[in-house]
Amino acid sequence: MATRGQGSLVHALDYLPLLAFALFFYAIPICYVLASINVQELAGLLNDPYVLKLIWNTILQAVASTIPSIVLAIPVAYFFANYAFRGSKIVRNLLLTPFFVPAFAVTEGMIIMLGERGLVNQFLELILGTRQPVSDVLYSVTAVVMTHVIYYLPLAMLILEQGFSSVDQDQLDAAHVSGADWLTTLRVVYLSHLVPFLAASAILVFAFSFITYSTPILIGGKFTTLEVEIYSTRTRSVSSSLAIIQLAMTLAISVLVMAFRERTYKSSLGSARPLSREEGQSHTLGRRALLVYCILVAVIELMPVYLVLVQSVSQSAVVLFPTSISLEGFSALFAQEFGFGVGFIDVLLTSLSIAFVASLCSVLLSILIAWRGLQSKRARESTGLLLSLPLSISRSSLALGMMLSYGFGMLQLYGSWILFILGDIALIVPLIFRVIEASWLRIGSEVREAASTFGASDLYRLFRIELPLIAPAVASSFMLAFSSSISEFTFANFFSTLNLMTLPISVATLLDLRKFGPAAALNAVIILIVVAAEVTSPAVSQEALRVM
Amino acid sequence: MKPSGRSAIALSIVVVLFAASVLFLVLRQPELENTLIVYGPRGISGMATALLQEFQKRYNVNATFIHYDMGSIDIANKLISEKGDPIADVIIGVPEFYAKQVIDADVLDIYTPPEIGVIPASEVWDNTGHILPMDKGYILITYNQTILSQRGLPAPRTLDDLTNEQYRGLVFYQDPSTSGTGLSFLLWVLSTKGTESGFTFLKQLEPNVKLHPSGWTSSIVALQRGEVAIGSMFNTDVEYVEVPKLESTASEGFVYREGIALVKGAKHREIAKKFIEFALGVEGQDIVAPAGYMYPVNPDASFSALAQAPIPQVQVTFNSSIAGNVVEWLDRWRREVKGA
Repeated sequence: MATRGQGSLVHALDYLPLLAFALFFYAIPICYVLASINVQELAGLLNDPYVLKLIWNTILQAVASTIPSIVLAIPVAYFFANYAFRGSKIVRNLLLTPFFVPAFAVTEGMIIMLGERGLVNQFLELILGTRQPVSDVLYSVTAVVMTHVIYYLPLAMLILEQGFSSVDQDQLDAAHVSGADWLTTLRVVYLSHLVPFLAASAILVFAFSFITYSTPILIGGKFTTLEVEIYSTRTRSVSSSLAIIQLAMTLAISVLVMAFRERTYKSSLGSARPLSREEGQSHTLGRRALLVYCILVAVIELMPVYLVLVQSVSQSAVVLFPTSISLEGFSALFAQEFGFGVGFIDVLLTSLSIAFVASLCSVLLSILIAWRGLQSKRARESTGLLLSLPLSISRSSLALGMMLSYGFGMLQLYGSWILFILGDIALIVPLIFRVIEASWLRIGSEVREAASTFGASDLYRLFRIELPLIAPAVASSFMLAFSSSISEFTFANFFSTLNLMTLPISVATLLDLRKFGPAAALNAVIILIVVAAEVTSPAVSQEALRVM
Repeated sequence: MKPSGRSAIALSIVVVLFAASVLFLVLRQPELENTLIVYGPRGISGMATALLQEFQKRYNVNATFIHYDMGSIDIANKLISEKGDPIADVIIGVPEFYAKQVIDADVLDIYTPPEIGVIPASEVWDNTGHILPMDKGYILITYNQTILSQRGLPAPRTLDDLTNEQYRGLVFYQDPSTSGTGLSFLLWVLSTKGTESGFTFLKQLEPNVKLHPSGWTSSIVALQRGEVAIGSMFNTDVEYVEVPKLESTASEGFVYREGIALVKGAKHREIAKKFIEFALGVEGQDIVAPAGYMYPVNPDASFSALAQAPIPQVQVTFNSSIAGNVVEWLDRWRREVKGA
């Protein structure tokens, strides 16, 4: 019989992987940022009207990004939750493309769409019969908000789809039998289930929009945010002080994310009879309208990425369909030297290798954290809380902290590929942990208990029973991690040297060298790798992605 | 606990791919210990890389350029923060207007290479001898003639012309926090008008400004797509092949000058001196124009690549009487001009 002390030790071990991860990847780098803070400066900033205005602007644009993202995502989520069709998983994953390709690729697509001579203006000029640009939204906060909607609508859709899927089929059947109209059904059956999912998706979209920085820099014109200010002052102590203010605010947002996440999980993992999806063609007018709406959303979502792909093989500036195809940009990549002895193949293989190693390490670490975290309810809740915090943390602040701590401080890793992998793991684990944990929770405690009754050890149960059951989720999360790593820009921007760089950094290098054709081609290469990972994901796994 | 056949195959593939990835990364890992390290701003990485690649071939040594994605001031501050235990051996791209801070921080050594004798005295701007002149460029007011013609607008000739109401929404200049060209524009204004009047002018100009691009690339993209028509660019961007009819009257312009220096406590001191000699010699200076779109200071070097670029008739240099406030000015610009 285990003594009380041994029991405490076992419980403490449940937290060990999580605490080690949090300490190494977050606490130590943040401490390095904290160490460079000037307390007087920090106090002064809290009363600085300029900083207060920045905070207010940041909040306003985040709210403005959140509301349309959620509202527009609801019908799409309903559609995917209710209707199954061949390739629906691929379509759903493809919709995530704007979220995973580098921000500068999507913003390039938005510039092609929204510019004075962009597609939107060309279309409006045609409709209205004018020769003057009608829309003037590029380089404004409106363009930032529109781009955020493109990024985050699919994210909201995934969370809301989980909400719609968790609606009790028995309640729906009862509403149908009792002759309830659609409004009553919506109010009584759907809303009661959806509120936590709506709140969770809204908070997550708000959090991501809150920490935005590359989108305002590229297409925000004079509009600026707190994160942009941190970036602009990043080598001075004021940057650390601003980062701490940002960190405190994102911490509060993360706690909210966590609170709603717990409710979401409780709802989604309840004992309700799952919603049965309808297969095949839709017939009613409402369903057809919904289908048309979803196609329209999918077209708008994928349009910026498509335009960047077209641009890479086209010789004209703004085109929906290329009139003549040119592969000059791609062939020029092979002749390009990006830095010191770094050719295109080197960059490609380096990126793929870093993505593979980082993804595998992240998956293994996530499994370890989830496995130990599931040993008790308290451990699971603490794990969920701690791993929710990084989702909305300022990336540039964390990258700065990692640079100070592991790049130059404790480990002297600047210039090494290991630093890239550490940065990737810090970002990826909080993201994929959810996919793995959600899958694990669905196994059910009775399976574990039955295995234990027959004398299975913890390790035997892990390797022979639980891991095989969650294998599809593991495969899915690996692909998610791979997509995320291959297009990661913020950390790579801090860590790369001209001797070692990844694909997104090479695009930036080409732009610096004024080589737009090869830069567009390389952007296309990144997009194609991300799309391939997304398309492969449902092929290797039937697991639905979960981002909350 | 033996895995099943399919699982074993999948596991083997993952292990092999993992091992291959790690092996590739280990073999590709650059060795920085025995490497000459040159610091400089990101904006000149093309030129710096070309210079160092040529230097490596010539002297058969390892060398690299590190910019940390920083601008000229940030990279100089980074060097200052490493005082006593520097990572860099040489710093290049030190701007004239930030020289005082770097010299006062005592992070540079005086080195006088033989090549300095051939450089005209008029090009030497640091009389203490810490920072040697390396190259220069001219910031001009440029415009897209096609757009101005379509709108029937005259070409702007001076800074004051930019505040003309008819140019509303057509003007740009880069964010000086992130762009060397933008910082040069700010210093052009302050050098010409003085600090207070300069900021008053910038605030008057702001209603005409459509955007402050983060750097050269976003400026060119905005120009190419016709989003803006008038703004500050280097003279070498005029007639840039991919921008239709970008022109300049070149009535006046700001002279941007930058230098090279030996870092105090450099770990590879002798080879660092060799690099400085190489960079200021004809061989290195011949690279400045084609790779950096800047003018070499060595009169024997060629700049035929820039033959079409207009030289400003009135050349404004940095007013050294206002030296020492660059960081304060950047803060003020963000608060009073962009964030107003």
